[in-house]
Amino acid sequence: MGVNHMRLYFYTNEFINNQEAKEIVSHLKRAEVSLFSNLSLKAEAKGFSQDQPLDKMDALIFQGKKLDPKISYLVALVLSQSKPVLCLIPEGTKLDEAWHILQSDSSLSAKLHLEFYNQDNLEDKVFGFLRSLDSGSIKDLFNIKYTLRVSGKLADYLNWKAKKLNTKKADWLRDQIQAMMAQDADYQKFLKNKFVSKN
Amino acid sequence: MPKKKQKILLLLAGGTCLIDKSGNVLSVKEKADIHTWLKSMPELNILADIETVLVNGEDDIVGLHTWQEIAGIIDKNLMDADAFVVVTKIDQIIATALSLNFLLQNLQKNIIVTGSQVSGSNFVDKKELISQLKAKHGGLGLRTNLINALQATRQPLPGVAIMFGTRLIAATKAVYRCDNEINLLASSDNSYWGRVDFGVNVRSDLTHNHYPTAIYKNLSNKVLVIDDWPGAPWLWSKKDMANYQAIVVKTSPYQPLEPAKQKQISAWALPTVIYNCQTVSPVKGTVAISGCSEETVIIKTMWAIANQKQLGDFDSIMQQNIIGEFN
Repeated sequence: MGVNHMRLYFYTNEFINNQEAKEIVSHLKRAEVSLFSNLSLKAEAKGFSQDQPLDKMDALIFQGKKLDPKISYLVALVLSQSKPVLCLIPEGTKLDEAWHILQSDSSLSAKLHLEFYNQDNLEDKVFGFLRSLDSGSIKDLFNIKYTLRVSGKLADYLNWKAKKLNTKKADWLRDQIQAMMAQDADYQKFLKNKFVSKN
Repeated sequence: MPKKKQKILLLLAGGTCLIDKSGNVLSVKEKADIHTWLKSMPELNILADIETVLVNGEDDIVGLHTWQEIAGIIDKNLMDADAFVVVTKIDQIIATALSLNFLLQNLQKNIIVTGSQVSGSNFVDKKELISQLKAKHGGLGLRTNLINALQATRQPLPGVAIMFGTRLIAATKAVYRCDNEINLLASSDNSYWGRVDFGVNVRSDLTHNHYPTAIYKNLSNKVLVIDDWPGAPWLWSKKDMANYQAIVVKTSPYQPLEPAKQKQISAWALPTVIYNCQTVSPVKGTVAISGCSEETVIIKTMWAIANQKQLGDFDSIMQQNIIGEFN
């Protein structure tokens, strides 16, 4: 798993000489997201063979010209879970009617990112989407569980502090980390350049 | 060449509860609710052209008449729809799927039954369950189940199937077994027609049955189901039995039915099935059935009795493998 906790599923329905798909995968790997793709069946089978693995993804990225039943299904399922979908469509492609149907619904259009790309801006489109995910509300959810071992002294301090401030220990720790993160200039610089294309 | 969108007839008979984008629970209680309900799942529109028929409202009782009505509607629309998806209450899913399987045999179109994890429009008693499902899974499962069901209709299936959680289950194999929060149903022998991971993966060896299609209209509601406890007497008189056309007795596997009860069965002179899932001791004048699910035996009896004139000998029909129930 990369340093980034994002889990993305990349799907393409064009398998012959699809250089763009390879590039997208390469950009995503560089961004260190946890990537699953229909191009690498091994990855699919490895960690998520059961229990609705698509449920565990944070977003779906599709690249291709045409919607087929499989990608229609994936898009419908991911949107139904209120998760974002990036559709990378080669410039000059005529949009399927289904995209218009989805875009016409305000609740879905907010999650559906339809992007026409060319050779020059593909990386920007991918990183732009990653940036939007990174700043999205899902990243603010306290949904990652940590088991933290501390010494007796630290535990005493945590108990004393929480009691004094009338707060929960976890809340206080979260606040401390949030404050440290905001003041950490190096980290802020890292965030700024995290999803910036090489071009 | 992309495959065209399928035309799906969606039949609603309870089990329609879902959480909309604003967090409210929606269900279809009457025809006027369908528009808002469907509008809250716009993503379905890219999967299929859906026509919806309301059979039962969310709070109506689902039973024999519902199943007969659904079968009738499917029969009428066989030529117009590519496949049929039935939404019904979780506690009636297996019986609904089995009824449709016995009433509509060997169709060359798929019928998939699914539903929400929660049923009924009174939410006071279900508040906690709804909150839990909402927090952990973002909804009551219906959206996902429906999307998976629509996708599963694309491949031929040998009979009626149930799509629930991550499993596509043959109606004849389905049992209630809560393996985890999203899989409330399982296959009795752990073999599945399909599973959901990064798509709905339906077994590639499945085809429609090539036996002649047989369509029946009726099930009998005059079947008495007795859950026998050894030592507890049966207090029905012969007069009580005048209201019934058949009896199903669920017995223990390893001891025979008590002689007094065997005499009662003989005196009642009704077609009688002695059932246990594992094994059953035969009783004179009855048909002993094992090796299939309890729901299957009951629904099959309801079907066999209602269509006895057409089907012939009751005992022989009950022992035949009609829809793959003994596979």
